[in-house]
Amino acid sequence: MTFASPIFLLLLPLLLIILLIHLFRQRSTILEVSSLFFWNRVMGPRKRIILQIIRNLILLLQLLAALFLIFSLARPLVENTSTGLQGRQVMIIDGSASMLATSGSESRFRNALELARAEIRKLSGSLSIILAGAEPQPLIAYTESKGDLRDALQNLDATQGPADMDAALKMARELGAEGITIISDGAFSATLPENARVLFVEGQSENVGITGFSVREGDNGLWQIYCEISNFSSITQIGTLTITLEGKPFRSFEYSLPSGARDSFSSYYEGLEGGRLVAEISSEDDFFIDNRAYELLQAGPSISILLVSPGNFFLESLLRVDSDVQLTWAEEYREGNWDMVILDRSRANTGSLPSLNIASPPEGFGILGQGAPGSIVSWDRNHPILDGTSLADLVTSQSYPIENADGIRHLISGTNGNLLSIYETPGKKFAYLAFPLESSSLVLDTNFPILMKNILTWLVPEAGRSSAYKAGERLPTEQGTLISPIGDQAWRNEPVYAEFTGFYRFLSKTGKRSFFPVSLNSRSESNLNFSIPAVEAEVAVTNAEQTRSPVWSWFLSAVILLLLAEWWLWGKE
Amino acid sequence: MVFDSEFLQKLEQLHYIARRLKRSLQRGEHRSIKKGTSQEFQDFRDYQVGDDMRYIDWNVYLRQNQLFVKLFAAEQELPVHLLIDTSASMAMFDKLDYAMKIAAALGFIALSRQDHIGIGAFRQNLVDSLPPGRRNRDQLFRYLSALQAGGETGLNDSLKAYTLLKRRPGLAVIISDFLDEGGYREGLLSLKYSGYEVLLIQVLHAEEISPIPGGNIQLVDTEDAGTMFLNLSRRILYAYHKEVDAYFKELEEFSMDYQMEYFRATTEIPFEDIILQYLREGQYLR
Repeated sequence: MTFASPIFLLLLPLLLIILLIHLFRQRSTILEVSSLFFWNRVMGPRKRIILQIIRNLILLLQLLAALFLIFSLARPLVENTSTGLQGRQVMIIDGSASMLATSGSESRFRNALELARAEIRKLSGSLSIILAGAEPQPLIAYTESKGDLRDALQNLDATQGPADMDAALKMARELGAEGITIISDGAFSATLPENARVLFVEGQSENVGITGFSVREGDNGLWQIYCEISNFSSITQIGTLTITLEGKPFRSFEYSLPSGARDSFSSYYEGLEGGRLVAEISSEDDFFIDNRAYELLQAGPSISILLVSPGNFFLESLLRVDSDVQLTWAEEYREGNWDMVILDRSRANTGSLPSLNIASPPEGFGILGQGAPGSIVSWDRNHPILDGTSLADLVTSQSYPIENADGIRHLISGTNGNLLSIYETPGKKFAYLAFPLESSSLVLDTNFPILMKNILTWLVPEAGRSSAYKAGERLPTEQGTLISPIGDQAWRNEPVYAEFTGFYRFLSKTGKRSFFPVSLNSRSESNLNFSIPAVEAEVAVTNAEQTRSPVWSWFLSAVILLLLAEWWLWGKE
Repeated sequence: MVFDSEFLQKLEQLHYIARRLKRSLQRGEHRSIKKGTSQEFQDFRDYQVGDDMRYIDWNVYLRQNQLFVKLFAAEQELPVHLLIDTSASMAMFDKLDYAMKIAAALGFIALSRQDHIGIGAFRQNLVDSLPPGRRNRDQLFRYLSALQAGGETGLNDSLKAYTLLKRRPGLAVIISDFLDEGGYREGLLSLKYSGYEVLLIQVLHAEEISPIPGGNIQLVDTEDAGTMFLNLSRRILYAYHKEVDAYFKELEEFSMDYQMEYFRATTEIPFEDIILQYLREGQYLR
């Protein structure tokens, strides 16, 4: 049993006062009588023993009543044993980077493991555990052995990237889970099934971090270095941003960010040699992962895009200034060596070529009709496409929401239907913007270039991208030896997820050496102050405190019963 | 111990009514159920050979031609035994002083009628006694004045001890508070079966009958220094009253069953009233 307001336990010495009052009452006046003849008849030895017992009982009841009253003020909490896991259960532990934030002396992940152990203690069925990282990792198959389950949690730690909770839930469903328990800080957005419940670990933490760090080759041949710092703490953060190249500082910026603000810094690099770039801020916050970001000064492959449009000034202008993009404009779709195609208000059969469709869905998909002017209702802020965007003020004058179909996932929902949807199967991948760009406020918004860059990166992850990777992304490590930032070395036959931030070194079997800079660069992971209602409202939510039921009312009821019993005994006395 | 002369004059007018005194070897001034030769006519019976010719009622013979003898109440002497409880409980509320005054008054009545009186003082056992005899007033008062209270009460042992003294039976007046855990039955019955006519005078103080509520108190017994802690609540006082009433009733029924006289006095009543009013009204004195 724990206490929510233990300060009231300081009242416990008041019990001594009751004891003293009782002792004072015992000090009776002496009365000499001629004989105890009648008194012995009234108060025989048996009655006297009973009376003494009653008196002691009254004292005991008074002490207990006072003790329970103090306990009820201290708001006791007991572990809820009634919610013990039964049947085939799956526990998903959030292993995202935000779980590495410290809440008090322990990280959220350590607290999550404690919570997991508490659930295991109450287990009355079989349990399987999944660690939700960039890809779900099953830790242990169904077992009723609490010892084995506890062992599975040994030496476990969170990743330094986001967690794919959808994939973890899908794995849980495939395991045939009768119930799913998610232990998380709330930094996920997923549609929870009916049989899922969430145990939240402590969520409030202070953080300022680097939420963007990239390098690209400018038109003038110079390297452009861009860095964004966001302040998610409750106070103004002042510090220094230092950028080093191969360990040597060559730029530093002073920043002063009010609570909730973000700022960006850019610089040029005129040197000839490339190398490893590290951006670091001087901050003593609760989350260390985003205090450093990593990049490489090296030329990357560009992305070849066919833009099929009757004419779109904003989109063309945006794509033409992007040095990573080789843009070809056409009124109609034609086959070519494109990495992807943008179909603006037009339809065409692009085969398996990734596409961004604007205001007209791809071949084979219909629309739900034309939507009236509307605004944004909700959006999946944790999806990479919407990372770093804030679309709350987006308004559209018309829209053409896509019909629901298998594989379609809606990322932005408006008052008149879904505004941004994505589709991904092995043979087809597209993103669909349901509104003409020029009929929305998006093109005049600073979120426009971010959103478009995110869409292009999502559609063609390998091409045209910055050399930097985000934690949780797949690294193109086919057939070679990969050495992680923490020194782990392993042979890889396929792309692997980047679990740590820093520089990965890769030695291909042909002997080619390459670096993969991995940074968090995620506003959603850096923002540690999640609001619990972000999770689907209709899902039964249990937070960490709710697993410990408040029992102050029990104690208060006991106080009333004790006082009634004491009153009754008082009458008997 | 001094009585005023008016009170003494009143006492001289009184004498005991010994209703059930069965025998007496000496003539005295008390009427007895035994037919005797006093001047007070009581009944007739048929003449039998040997009867005193002086008691034949010749008027009846003339009217009915049959011989009847007139019977007169026997005038007999009545020894009075004053047995006084001198245990420590009698010292409370001046009960012993009250008891001594009653004893002195009753003794004075007996002396004024030329009766023999015996006196016994008892506590746990009989502590002192004077055999029955004709005494003067000063002897009586001096003896009573010298009595001191102390020790525990032992009614049974004391009264049995008195009967073992083989004194000539008469009227035994026992003055006590009768607050004895050991009871009284055996002692009183031994007196009864030894031929005594028994008069019980229970002396109590009003506070012993109706204690005053006083919260938490520690009661201390004057006789054995026993203690008791209790909260003198109304509930307990109610139980106390019930016990007191039950005890009084028990004592009354006992005395009634064994043809003893029982009288209860509280020290608030002037002892003169006890003698001149209550005992006369109860027909213990005439």
